[in-house]
Amino acid sequence: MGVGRMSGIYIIADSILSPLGINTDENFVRILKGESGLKSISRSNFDFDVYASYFETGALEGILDDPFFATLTRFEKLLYYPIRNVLEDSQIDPRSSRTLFVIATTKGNIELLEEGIRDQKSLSLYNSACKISSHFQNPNKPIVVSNACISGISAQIIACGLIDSGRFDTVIVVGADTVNAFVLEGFNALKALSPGHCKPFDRDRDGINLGEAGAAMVISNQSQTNKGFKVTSIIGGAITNDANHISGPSRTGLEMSMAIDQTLKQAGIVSSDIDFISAHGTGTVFNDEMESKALNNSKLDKSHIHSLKAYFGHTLGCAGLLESIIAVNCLQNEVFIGSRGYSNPGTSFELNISSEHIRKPFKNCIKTMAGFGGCNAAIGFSKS
Amino acid sequence: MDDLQIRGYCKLIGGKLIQDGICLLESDAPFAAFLDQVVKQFSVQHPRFGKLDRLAQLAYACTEILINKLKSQNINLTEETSLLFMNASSSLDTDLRFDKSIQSMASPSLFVYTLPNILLAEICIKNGLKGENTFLVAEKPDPELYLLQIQRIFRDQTTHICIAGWAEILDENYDCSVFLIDRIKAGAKSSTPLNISSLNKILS
Repeated sequence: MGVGRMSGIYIIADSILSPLGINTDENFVRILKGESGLKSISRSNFDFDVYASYFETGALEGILDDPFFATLTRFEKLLYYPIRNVLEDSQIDPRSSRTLFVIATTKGNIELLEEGIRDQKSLSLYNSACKISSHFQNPNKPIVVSNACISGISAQIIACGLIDSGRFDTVIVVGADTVNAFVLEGFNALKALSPGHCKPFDRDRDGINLGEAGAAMVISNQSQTNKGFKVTSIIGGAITNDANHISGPSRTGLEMSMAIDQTLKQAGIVSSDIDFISAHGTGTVFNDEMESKALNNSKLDKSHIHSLKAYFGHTLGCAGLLESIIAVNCLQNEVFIGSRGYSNPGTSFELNISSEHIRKPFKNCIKTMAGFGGCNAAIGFSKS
Repeated sequence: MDDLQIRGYCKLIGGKLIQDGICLLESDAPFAAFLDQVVKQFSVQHPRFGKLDRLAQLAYACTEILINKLKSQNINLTEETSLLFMNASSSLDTDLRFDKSIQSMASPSLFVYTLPNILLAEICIKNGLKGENTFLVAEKPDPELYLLQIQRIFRDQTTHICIAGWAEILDENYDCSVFLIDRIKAGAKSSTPLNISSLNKILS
């Protein structure tokens, strides 16, 4: 329930803006060193202590001296900066009618509520998207995806479908979400926040950390790139629903497994062809348990598996893009990033999780996500 | 590309319930009372309808009325049914309520509804639908966007049916349209093929 058998769709540029770095390389080098963006959040208006990956006051504003950038909200800055990077790297023309922007976010400008701004226009996800796409003089209406935590994969699947159908040649996919009182209070009310650094898939896992970031990729039907960027193919992608519970994951993991199996089918490969999985791995008891069942059911429990949440936090609508970009860079750099925070197995099906980095040639990988509303997504990548 | 068809639609807008072009209910009542009337008169069933947020209530009721009508015509949903919904203000209606709750005690049940795709989950849970779920935010209902996305959803052959819709609510302004799409069987003719003009009729 994604795209048909896929070929000829490439990622020709990518960029991540997070508290760990302002482009993909900086972020990749930092996590390779085992560093994390997580730090204690010291805000006087919370009556709870949490760790999150966030920009210190003024840090995001200071990364670019540009009059347009200065007019943007924090959320819009997280969208804009990585787009600027991928356009520079790929040299594609955003003014072309054959180019489209697809934006993924869950809550957009929601932190403006903290300043008392409550009007529909200021909080509109579509309005932010238009601000960005019109700045780059793109003639098409941007597509905005708000599909909970799977938004970043949904956006890539939509992009692939639009290229596959011949409607567009190039899609600039970008995702962002911020850490703010609204989401912190919400996840705290759900008792989903870890009091320390999250421990995905570990026996002692006790909840999530939130993170803020922006991430962009250029998806194209052309595999040529500038600057010797190593091109990756998107080989399949699918979305399913659990039809079980609005906020709890499936008890069986069968629906995430369906999304993985559909992705493999579209790619024309089998589970043993998958070298590693970039799992959702939020660090909650229920998500990681569900994923262990799904990966076991899809015969992927022996592949190398990691979660990146202890490096970046859960970046919500951005996570599917940010973590896909890291996965693609693992393929290209022939290094699998170790799963930070993992020590002891603690899911009903034991997974092949390594907390150490693993260096070897890789060809194919799958990224999985799950979200509130019982949605699941998988997307496959292959070294071109 | 398979030929697709629209099998029926239902709308709840400005105190009216319109099904396949026919107005079946008209009321001056404010939203809550209007929806209450709709739910009673059209036997909309949900074990905890009162706990849903207003956006999910609106979309759920409109979808159930459509599904029940189509069932009577022997058009039945399968697990391989996908959902594609859009609106303009995402979950802002509930976001503002949740934000107020933060002042006293943040409400976990409200927080879950601060994602617009939760309405898709309500429809999936009730009907056992396990296909794709996609929620998009647009300025207004855009027939071309629906057409491209519905065609994409059917391209992979796993989707048998797609339920698509627009569901918007903010204060007393609400606008919901839901329609069902499936493939035209080989050799058959459809009275309502999926195209810009048929979408325009439903969404305008």
